[in-house]
Amino acid sequence: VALTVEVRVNGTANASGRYLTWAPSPLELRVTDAAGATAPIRVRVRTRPRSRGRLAFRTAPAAVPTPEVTLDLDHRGRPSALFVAGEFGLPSRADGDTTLEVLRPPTTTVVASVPLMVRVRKDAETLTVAERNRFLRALARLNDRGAGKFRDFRNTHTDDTTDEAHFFDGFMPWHRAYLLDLERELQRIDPSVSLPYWRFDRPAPKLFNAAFIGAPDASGLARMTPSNPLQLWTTDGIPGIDRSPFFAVASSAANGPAGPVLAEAATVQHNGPYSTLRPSFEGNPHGRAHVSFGGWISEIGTAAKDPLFFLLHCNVDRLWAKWQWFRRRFDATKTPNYPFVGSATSPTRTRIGHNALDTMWPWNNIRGGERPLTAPRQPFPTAPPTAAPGGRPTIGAMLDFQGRADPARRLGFDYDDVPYEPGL
Amino acid sequence: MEAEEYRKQYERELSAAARRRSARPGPSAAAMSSRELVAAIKDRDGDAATRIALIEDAGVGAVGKPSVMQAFIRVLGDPEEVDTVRLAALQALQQNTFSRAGFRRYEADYREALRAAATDDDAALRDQALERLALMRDEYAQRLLVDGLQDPSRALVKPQRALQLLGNDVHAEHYPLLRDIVETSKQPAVRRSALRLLAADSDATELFARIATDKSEDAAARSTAAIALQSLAPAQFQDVARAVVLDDDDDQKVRATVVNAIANRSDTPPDEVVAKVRSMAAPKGSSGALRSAARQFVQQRDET
Repeated sequence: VALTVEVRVNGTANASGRYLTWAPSPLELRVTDAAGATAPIRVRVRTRPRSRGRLAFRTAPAAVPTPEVTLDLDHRGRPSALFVAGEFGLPSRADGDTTLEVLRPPTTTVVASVPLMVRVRKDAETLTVAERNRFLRALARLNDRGAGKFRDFRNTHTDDTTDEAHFFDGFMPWHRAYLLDLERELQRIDPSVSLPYWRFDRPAPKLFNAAFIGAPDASGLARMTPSNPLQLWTTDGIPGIDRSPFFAVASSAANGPAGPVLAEAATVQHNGPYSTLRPSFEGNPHGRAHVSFGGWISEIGTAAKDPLFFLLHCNVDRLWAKWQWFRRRFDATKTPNYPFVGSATSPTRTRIGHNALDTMWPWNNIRGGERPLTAPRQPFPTAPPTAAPGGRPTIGAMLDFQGRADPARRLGFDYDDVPYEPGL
Repeated sequence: MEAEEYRKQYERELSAAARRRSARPGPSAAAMSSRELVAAIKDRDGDAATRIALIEDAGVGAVGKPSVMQAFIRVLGDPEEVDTVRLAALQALQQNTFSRAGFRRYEADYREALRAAATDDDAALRDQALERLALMRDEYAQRLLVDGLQDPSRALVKPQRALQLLGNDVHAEHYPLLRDIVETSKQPAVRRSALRLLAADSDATELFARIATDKSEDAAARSTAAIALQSLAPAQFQDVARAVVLDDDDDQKVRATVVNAIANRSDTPPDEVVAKVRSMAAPKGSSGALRSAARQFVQQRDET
C-alpha cells in the first residue's frame, strides 16, 4: 500500500485554491493513508525541478523562506500546517506550470504533487504572447461587445460617481478595490489571468501594438489586428476605442502638452506621509498619464471605456504598493500611512467613503444622500484563494494587501517587482 | 532574489535617480511666490517656452490654488495669447479635472474658455478644445461639428475628426446625416467613421449586411459593418459570416475579422463554418491574421 498525502493550498484541496502570490498562503499536508506506518512520516516538500515558477516555504508568515522544507507528518492523519508562496522574481506564465511535490526521503519517490500557479501582476511589456492573448480574450468576453458585465465597471467610474474615488484620500484604496474587482471577474473567465500594468514612465512598444492594446492610427481610433479580440470592443453601441497619443508610444515614456509623467523613482522617493503623497500623485503621474492621450482616457467620465484605463491604473496602484513596501506603510491604523484612521463619524474625519473604517461605494450598496443613486457593482466578489476583503470592503482593508498583519486578510494579488516582507 | 537584497538594490537606484533629477536645469514654479507665478504665466511678453515649462510645473495639484487655476483659464480663453501657451494651459486644466470635487468651481469658466478656443484660428488648439468639449457632451460643440459636416465651408476640423468627436454623444437625429455620408462620401476613412456611428442604429442592419458582403467595398468599412451587424442582428450576421468565411477568394482581413467575431461569441456557427475555420487553422491552411484568428477560434472551442 502506498503512502498517500493530501495537499491543501489556501484551505482547499480543489483547483480553485491553487493560485499563489509572493505573500504566504496556508499550506496543509495530511496523511490520508499511512501505508502501515506507526510513527511520524518524514517528507520533503519542494518545487518540482523544471517548473516555470518557484515556491518558497515558511513555517510561519514571518519566518525566513526556504526553497524546500522537511517535516514529520502525523501518521494518524493530523494535518501539518505551514505556508507557501511564490519565490520573488520567479512567477508562473501559465496555469499549473509550477508543481509542488512531496517526496519521501531519502528516496525521490513523489507521494503527492499539486500543479500551482504563481500568479502576479506583470509589466505588460514582459507578457508572453499566450499571457497577452488570454488577458485580451477574457477582457473581450467580460465586455461582450458592450452587453457584458464590463458595463457595470464603466457605470461605476463616471462623472456622477467621481467623488467616491477622486480628490479625497480614498483615491488610491478605492481604485485598488476597483481593479481587484475587475481582475476577479476576469479570473472567473480564465483563472490564469492577472491584470498587467502599463509602466508609463518607459516606452511600451509591445503594449501599444495592434496585437495588444492597440496601435496609434491616423483615424484617432486605436488600431487592432483583425485577430485581436479587442477589435470587437464596443461601448455605448459604437465599436472601436477612441484614443490618440501625444507621444511616440514605441520610443518614449508618456508625455503630452501637460508635461512628462513623473518617473517611478521620483514617486517612491516621496518620504512624507500619505496625506502629502496622494494630492501630488493624483496629479502626476496619474493625471498626466491620462492626458498624455486624446480620446476617452483623457476625460474622467469616459476613461473607463478604454481598456487601457485598467493598465494605467494598475501601474498607479503598483507605484503606491511600491511606496508602501519601500516606506513600510501598510498599517491602516497609523496616520502616516493613511490620514483618516477612523470613520465618517469620528472627530477627525474626511468625506464619507474616504475614512479608513468607511465601507466603499458601490460594493456597500449604499445609495442616495452623499452617495450616488445607483450601485452597479455589489457585493465585492469573492475569490477562492482568499476570503478578503469581504463583500463590503473598507478603505482600510485595501492597505495591507499582502496580509502582513494577518495572512487571512491578504487580497490575493501582488506585483512582479514588489516583494513580500514580514511586518507592517 | 531575496527581498533584503532587492531593497538595497532599489535604494541605490533611487539615489542615482535623485542625483540625475537634481542636476536637471529648468524653471521651478515651487521656487516662486503665487503672485510671481501667476504674473509669469500671464505675461504675454514673456518667453513662450519658459511660460509653458512653468505651466507644466504648476499644473500638478493646481486645483487647490485658485489664482493659478484662474490664470490657466484666462490664458486658455484669451485669443490674443500665444497658441502653444494656450494649449499648455488647456492640458494643465484638463489634468486637474481628474480631481473633480476640487475642480467643480472652475468648470463653468473652463467650458467658456474652451468654447472660445474651439473657433480659434490655430488648428491644433481648435482641435483640442473641440475634443474636450465633445467629451463633455457640450451642446455648442456638437452643433459646431454637425454644422461643419453639413456645410464644409463652416467645418472647424476635417470630416473624419468631426465624426469621431460627434461619436461621444451621437443621437438618432444624427442618423440621417450619417447615412447620407455613407452613401455619398468618396473618402473611405470618412465613410468608415460614419458607419461606425451608425452601429447603434437598429434601422441600419440592411446597410451593414450589404456593405459587409460587398467585395467592392473598402475592407475596413466591411469589417466595421460586420462587427456592428453582429451586435445589432446576430442571426443576420450568421448569414454574412457564412458567406465571407466560406469564400476563399474574399479579402483575408475581412475574413479574419469575421472569424475573430464568431470566436468571441457564444453562439454556435453552422457546422460548415466551423469545419472551414478548423481547416484555416491547420498548417498551410491560411496565413497571417486569418490563421491567427482561426487558431484562436479552435482553441476557444476546444477549451469549452
